[in-house]
Amino acid sequence: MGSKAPATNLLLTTKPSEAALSVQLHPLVLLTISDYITRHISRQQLGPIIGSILGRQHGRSLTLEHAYECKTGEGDGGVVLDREWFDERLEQYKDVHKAPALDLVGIFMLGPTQGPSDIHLRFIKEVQKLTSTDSVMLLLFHPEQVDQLQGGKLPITLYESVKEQEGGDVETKFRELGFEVETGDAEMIGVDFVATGAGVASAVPRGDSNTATSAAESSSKEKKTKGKGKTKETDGGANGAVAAGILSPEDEELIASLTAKSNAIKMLHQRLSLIRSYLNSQPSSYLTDATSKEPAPDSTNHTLLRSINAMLSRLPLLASPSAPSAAGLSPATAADKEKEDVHLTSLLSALTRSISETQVLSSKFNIVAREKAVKERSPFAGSGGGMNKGGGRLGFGEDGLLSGGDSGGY
Amino acid sequence: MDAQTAWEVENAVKLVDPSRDALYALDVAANKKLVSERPWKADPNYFKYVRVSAVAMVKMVMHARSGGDIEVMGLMLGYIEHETFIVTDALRLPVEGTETRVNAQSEADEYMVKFLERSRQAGQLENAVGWYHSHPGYGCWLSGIDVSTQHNQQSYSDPFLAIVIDPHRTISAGKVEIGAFRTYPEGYKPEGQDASAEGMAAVPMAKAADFGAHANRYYPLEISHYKSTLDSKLLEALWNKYWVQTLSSSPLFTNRDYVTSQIQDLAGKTKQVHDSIKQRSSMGPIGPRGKGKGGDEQMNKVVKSAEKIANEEKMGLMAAMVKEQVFASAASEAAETASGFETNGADTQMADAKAP
Repeated sequence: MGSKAPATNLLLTTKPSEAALSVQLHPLVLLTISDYITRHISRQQLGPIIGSILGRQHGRSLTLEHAYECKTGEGDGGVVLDREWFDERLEQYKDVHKAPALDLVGIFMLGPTQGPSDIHLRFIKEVQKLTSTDSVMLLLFHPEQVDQLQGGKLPITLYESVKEQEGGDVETKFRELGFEVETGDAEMIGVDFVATGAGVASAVPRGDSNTATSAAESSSKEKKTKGKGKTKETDGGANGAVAAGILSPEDEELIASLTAKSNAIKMLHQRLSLIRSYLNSQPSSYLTDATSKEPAPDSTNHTLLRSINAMLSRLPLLASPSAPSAAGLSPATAADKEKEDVHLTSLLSALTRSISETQVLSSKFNIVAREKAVKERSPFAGSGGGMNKGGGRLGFGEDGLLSGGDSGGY
Repeated sequence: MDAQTAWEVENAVKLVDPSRDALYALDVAANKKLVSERPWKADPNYFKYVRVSAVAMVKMVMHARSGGDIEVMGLMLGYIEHETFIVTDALRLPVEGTETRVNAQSEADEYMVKFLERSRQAGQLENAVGWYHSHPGYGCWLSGIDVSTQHNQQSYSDPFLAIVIDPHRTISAGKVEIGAFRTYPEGYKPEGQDASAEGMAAVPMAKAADFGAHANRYYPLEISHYKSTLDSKLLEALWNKYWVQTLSSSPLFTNRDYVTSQIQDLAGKTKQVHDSIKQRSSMGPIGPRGKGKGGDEQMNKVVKSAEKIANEEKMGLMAAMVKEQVFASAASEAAETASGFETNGADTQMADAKAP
């Protein structure tokens, strides 16, 4: 018996005055769930995948910020949560999440797209009893949706549990909740960082393979930045072969950032063509043909057209004016100045590098010059001391010169 | 096995790719064997790489940030492979202000032990493989206290790793500022001065003394992160929402303050190097040789940070130029076509109102 399908219809009509619950999901929760799923399956752990979600609830707004896996065990009636473990773990997490204070707001499990089933209901009830709160959300992760993700839809659905009176019986049913993804600044940077590097989790090469291949493999692991994990790479044998084209970290970063930009531009293009095709599909009106007298059909979505219109009329305002702004700089000259600054910094850094290399060169030259002078002056006194000091220092083949000089001296 | 688990096994098993998600499996026996062999005893530079999981990375960065200006610390779980630390998860410890107290970690001992025990019961069988803490605003390196803490850990619970995160620099640079280190055994003299972490020139002058005093007692490891195939798919879906931000960000502009402060610091260091070289050369060619190498190393660091700054600037410029090429170069044509339609906006509105 699906407890979702009949529930939503009933509930939606009887609760119009209920203020909508606004839910903000943080990407860390998603990452934690995904990491746990991968680990659980890789290691073939026992028991169902279930965990808790921590967050904050203020009135009708709810955040889902952290998550952790939960231990299950055999109990009466099948698999149940380990109560002692559950309580202690929650305490441990609350201990380190004091500012802002987080509390249990939901649990996550795997489930089909149709919605929660009895087992989910059972766990929700158990958690409600353990935490003595009624508002425990259920986050269902849909593994079957993962391969057909389109347009930024996440393979999860959020449900809240509601108590319903059904002919004398109070039953718990689920209602689907909308949510939006929200990040903090540090979270954004962290997630961005892990999203844009390639970071394939293929195994570390063993020490017994010769060092050449292991070096190649680890550096080609580094080199595989395909931002957003789009292109799939073949591992193992191919790695060694690709090693010839090892890229420096700066190049990789460049590629990653350019890929990210090109993806963003593609997205913009997609959205624009969507709008354009929508507009094209509108029936003809006086806009396309000035002589047509037909009124707009009833199915026209005026709100949509108005917002498209508003966006278009805003565009000229956003375009940068060619006249100088209040700062006395037109955007063109400001851009030029920025370019100059960047070029200046690279010039300075190149200069610094040349200076340092010149300095190294000159100090080596000094050593050689001095040793030569010393050697010419006196065969005994100079070369003994000179050999100790100079011999150990030099980098480029001057050792031959010194030892040649030494034997010449004796 | 109950119905739910059976359903999961059937539907979720294809979410994991055994070769591309290899780091998520845990071979307890192989790990034990490597630990008992202790190859790092023979070679103090044995561990060279660190691979941090996406989840651990984000958790650590967020924890560091949540501490604000106060240092926070936590533990890392994972295992070791050939020359590599694999960090699979991270957990917070209820301790603060770790830089001024020698024994901060021992306060959290009870918490740590209980937490790890519970994790093991739940099936997370990794050992503690390191600790992380934050240096808010003063860069990723090990202070004197950190060095002794890490040295201690390496003596008693090796293999162990130290990771440092700077949340302030992370925010202002827009990139995670993180470093991983291991200390050398007592009395070990690293050949060359490679020990003191190249790229560590980003230490503010105020802390330079503490940094310099211990800089050759530890060495940096190369950090990279990894994520699972499932992570990648989810992140792709997530990141589609942020395309607006990607396009509209202007890193040159937002990072101006950070870059200025970096350049200032670099100028200060350059002056230092300049002074020390002048000193050296004034003593003539018979001067003490000991300073020679040191001065060169300092110079090298200055060069490296100069290049780092220049690179970041170039990236920012690249971003601005891309936008200019794609959008602005066609601006004049766009303006023409736009003016052609300008009057229609008002008309449409009135037509709606008039339509019956």
